[in-house]
Order: sequence, then structure tokens, then C-alpha cells
Amino acid sequence: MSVDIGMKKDVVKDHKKIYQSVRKDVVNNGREVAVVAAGMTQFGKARTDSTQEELVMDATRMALFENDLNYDPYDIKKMIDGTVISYFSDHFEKQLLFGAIIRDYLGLNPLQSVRAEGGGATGGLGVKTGYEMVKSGDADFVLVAGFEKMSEVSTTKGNEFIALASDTDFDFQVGGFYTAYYAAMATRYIHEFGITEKQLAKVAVKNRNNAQYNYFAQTNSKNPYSTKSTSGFINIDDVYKSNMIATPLKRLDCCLMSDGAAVVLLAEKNLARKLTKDPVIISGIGGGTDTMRPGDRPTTKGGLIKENLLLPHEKPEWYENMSYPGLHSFRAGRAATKMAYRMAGIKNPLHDIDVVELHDAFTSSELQTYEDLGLAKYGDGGKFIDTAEFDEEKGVFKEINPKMGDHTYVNPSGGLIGCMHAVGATGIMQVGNIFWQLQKKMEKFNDNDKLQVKNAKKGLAHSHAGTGSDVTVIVMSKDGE
Amino acid sequence: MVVGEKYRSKNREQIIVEQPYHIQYRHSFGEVSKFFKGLHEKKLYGTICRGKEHHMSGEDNLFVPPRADCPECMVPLEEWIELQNEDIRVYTFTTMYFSGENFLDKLPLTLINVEFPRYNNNYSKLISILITNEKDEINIDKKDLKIGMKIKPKFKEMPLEKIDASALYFVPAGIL
Repeated sequence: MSVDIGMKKDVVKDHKKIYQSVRKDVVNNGREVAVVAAGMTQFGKARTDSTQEELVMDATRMALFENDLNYDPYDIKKMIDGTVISYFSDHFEKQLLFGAIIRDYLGLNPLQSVRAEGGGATGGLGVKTGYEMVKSGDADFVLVAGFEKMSEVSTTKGNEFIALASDTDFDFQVGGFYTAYYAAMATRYIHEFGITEKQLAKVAVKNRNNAQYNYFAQTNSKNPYSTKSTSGFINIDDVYKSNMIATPLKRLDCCLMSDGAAVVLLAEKNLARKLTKDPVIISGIGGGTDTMRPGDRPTTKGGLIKENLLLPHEKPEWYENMSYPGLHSFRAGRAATKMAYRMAGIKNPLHDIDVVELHDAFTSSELQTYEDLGLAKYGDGGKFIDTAEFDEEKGVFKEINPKMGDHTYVNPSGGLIGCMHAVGATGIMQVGNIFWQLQKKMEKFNDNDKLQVKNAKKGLAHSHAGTGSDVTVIVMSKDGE
Repeated sequence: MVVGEKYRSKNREQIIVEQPYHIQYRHSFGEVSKFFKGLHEKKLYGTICRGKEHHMSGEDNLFVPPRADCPECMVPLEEWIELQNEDIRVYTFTTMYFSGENFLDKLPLTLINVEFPRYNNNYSKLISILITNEKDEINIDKKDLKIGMKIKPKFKEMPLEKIDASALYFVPAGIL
């Protein structure tokens, strides 16, 4: 049997023109969206002291009461006209329709609400959904809350639950373990580009040690919810010596499993300027997707150019001969980046962006993500971390939160390796951190200024799911920048 | 006081209980059931789409795991090809020393993505297991375990009503 597709080539060409002109009209509706507050819990392997709704309440209280808003928090709460509740896994929570419990607990019924879910990118998609509610005019002031409690099952059962977010007919049955999927990607990434074990380990050292200055971080040994075996400072030998999980990834190359919650409040820009003297504008936002099975990414020679995924500062000759997307490529990350940069007018991220919170599920994926974000050429992710000053003798970076490139700082919070990965909260934690960075409030919330990026004007939060199936990129700017 | 201290619970009393949860699913493999029937019959099947004028690669698309429809042409696929005797290679690999609950007793275990170099391999880098020592089914990191290594499929006896993708595994082409 054959099907007549019935789509003439000229129609396909016209489609692009029509799309571009329509999109221009839709986007320019005059509304902009700003972050006005953030809050989060301390993260821990097991927050048995609180239920999910109690954790979200803690984060919401912090957002309303501690962000120096211009009005009484109770009045501000009454202005909220929509909520987004994001959590990843019905299996971990053993509670469907959890949003109903959360909204009730926060006293935010009968406002419109929606659950955002997309694997590891659940938090980023939550913020993007909240952005869309405000941008569209369906709401002016939205609370975005994310949470996860992963501790109610054993770690191995948890690994299995996470792997249910892989293709359960073909991938889950033969591995059942996300670290292995990423490890196989890392093997190929290393094969293609010659990334070294040391470059991978450096990511772990940077993020884990940053986290020691993050009040909320699970590996911060001062956090009462930290566990002794997975907290405190590390050096590069600790990474090398940590248990092999799936070659080439060792225990300290892998992200955490966490309990906790995070909240941000998003407002229409004019309202935001009334609510706070220091709103942070969402100046660019993008989403991207790719195949569930990493082995299915349809690679072609020069595919990056054919799919129109070059960033403004990149030259076609860099990638004309590169097969793309490879099994190790995060095409979703690149698509989201391109969309967000176009909207934010980012010409060169190395010059334009000061601070990045990205989804370091594994050390390898942090290096890969530098490339998707255009901070390094494809294949040069390892060289980018080598631009940070490293003390070879001590096996640590010379500074906490080391500078990379000319003025880029990546994962000051410690990211998923150092701070947390309570899946539904993760993307919101990242946006909250960039928000506080641009407001210069890292000292206020951490009780030390080690992680504050001085003079940060633009930041970026990158949220990522699966083996790269869903990605959001959010560019944030100080008001007026 | 650190801001967050205000929001940390002071209530230390916790009751923690055990709650079991078991589910049995009646799952259909739908239009790619032939693939799983094939595993039962010791055959490795893929589907192929010959509508290459619509494919970004300009070549036929081989699908292993099989797809019943081509994502580029939107055409239902009814051509199945046998692949068990084809040139099959390791595209990438990892040796697992930790896993989800179902695989703990099988560790260490080598996971591979396979490729079929004779075909346009765009959609077909199937995930599977590589057994390097058939006798005791223990996998070890071997020097000859490398990208590009020639392998061949093997099939585990599994009743058809319980079949899943783990009925298929691979061994180095030099063994047996």
C-alpha cells in the first residue's frame, strides 16, 4: 500500500513564510513577563520531616515574605490569578492530581491551574507554562511551584522509576537505568571528540564545591538534611576513586536524587515593576524536543545546518562536515537555545551571558550542554572547562565558582550534581538562582557571597529531560539591560 | 539568622509506614508485534521505508526498533526485513556496575547501541545487551570491547506471552 502525501514542494516553502509572518504578529502583543520572587526548601536525600505540600508551602512562604516586595505579602498573594504546579513522577509520589492538594494547601483555589510535566525538564516547562499564561494575557501574576519526593522508594527502585521515562518496550527492558543510557552516550561523545576523564571530573569538582556555599544544597555538609557520605568538599582524586556506576561515569559524575520544592512568581512587566523595585525580565524563552530513544536521532552530514540550528556567532564551515544529531547530541537543547537567543537578541552567548544554571545530570552532559548553548564549539566542551584556573596540586579550582571564558560562570548553585535534583523542582530552582544572582541576593539567601557573580546582567537557565527529549532555555535580564 | 532557617520545620515527630503497590499490565505491542514474535523464533526483524524522496538523508530508512509508520513520510510500513545475518556493529557501549532493581543480580552488564552499517542507520541504533562470556553470562570489561566491534544477535528462550526486548542479546561475532 502506498499513501499519496499530497503536499507539493511549493506549499512546503510557503509554509515557512506564512509561519514567520504569523509568528511575528503573535509574539508582539506588547506583554512582557518578569520574575518577581523566588523561594525554595533545603534539599535532602530524604525530607521525611515534611510532606510534598508542606515543602511547597515552605518555598511559597519564602517567595512571598523574603523577596523585598513592595506590598504586604497577604495583599500580594491575593493578586495571584493563576498557578502552575509541576512534578515529574506519579510513581514516586503515588498521588495523581497532586496539583489539587498543593493548590488547596496554599489557599489558591479556585484560580486557574495546570500541571506541567516533561521528565527532567518538568521545572523548566513549569516556568515556560507560567510565562505563557502571563504573556497571553490569561493571567497577570502566576505562581509556579515544583516539587518531588524521591525518597519513598529505595534508590534502586527509584532508578527504575526514572527509567520508566525511557522507551519501556525497547530500552527499559534491557537496561532499566538512566546512568547507563548517558554513559553509552558519553562513550560515543568521547570517541568523537576526545574528551578526557579529567575534563569530566573537573565538572564534578566545580559543582560539588560550589554547593558547599549554597544554603539549600543537598551536598552542603551544613545542611541538616545532608548525608555524611554524600556531602562536603571534594577534589579530583575523590572523583577518580568514586565507585564506577557505568563506564565511564563514576558515582561523583552523577546527579543527586532529592526531596524538596521550589517556587517562582511571574508577573506582567508593568505589574512586576509595581511589585518590586528589581524585577528580572524573561527576555528570551525557548523549547526543543528530540527522540525518546537516543539511538533514533536521525543523523545526517551537516545536519545542524540543514535543520537551521546555527547560532548567530557560529559559522557554517564549522559544522558542514559534522554528522548531526549524533546519538550523543542534544538537538532539543540546541533548538531551545536558538529560539531563546533569537527572542532575547543574544548575538554571542560568551559575551552576552554572565551566569548559567544548566542541567548537569552527569558531568558529560554539562560539557555537551556548553556546546548546545554555544559557549563552546561542538567537540570543545572539555576545552571550555579547561579555561577555568585549576590548582593541579590540590586537584581543585583556584576559586569557588570559577570563571570560564571571559566572564561566564556555570552552575554556581552546584547544579544537579552539587545542589539537588528533586525533578519537578529542579528547573524552578535554577530560575530562582538566576533571579537572585541578577538581583544580587545570593548573600542574603546563602549567608555568604561566594556564589554571587559580580555585575551579572544576563543569566540563563537550562532545563533538560530524558536523554535529551525535552529542553527549555530561559534567558533572564535585569530590567533595562 | 539565615533566611531559610525560618522555614525549616521544627516538628521532629514522624510516622513512617510501609505501603506495597503491585500492578500487572496487559500490554500490547500493537503493529510491531512481529518484532517480538520474531525474537521468539530467533529472528531479528526491522521495518524499512523506501520513500526516500521525503527523507532528510535521501536514503531508505531502516527502523530497528521497528516502527509501524515512517515519521518522515507518515506512510504505514509493511515491509519487514530479517537482520540476524547482517553486518552488525557496536556503535557505543557502557559496562554497568549499578542499575535499577530488575538488573541488580545481573551486574556487571554491558549495554550497547548497535548499528547496521549496510543500511541508513538513522533511526536504528537499538539498545541491547552484549554478553562477552556466554558460559556464565558474566560481562567483563574487555580490551576488545570497542566501538565498531562486529557482533551477532542471540536469542533467549522466553514464552511468547511473557516476551520482552531482553529476549535479544548480542555476542562478539568471533564467539560461537
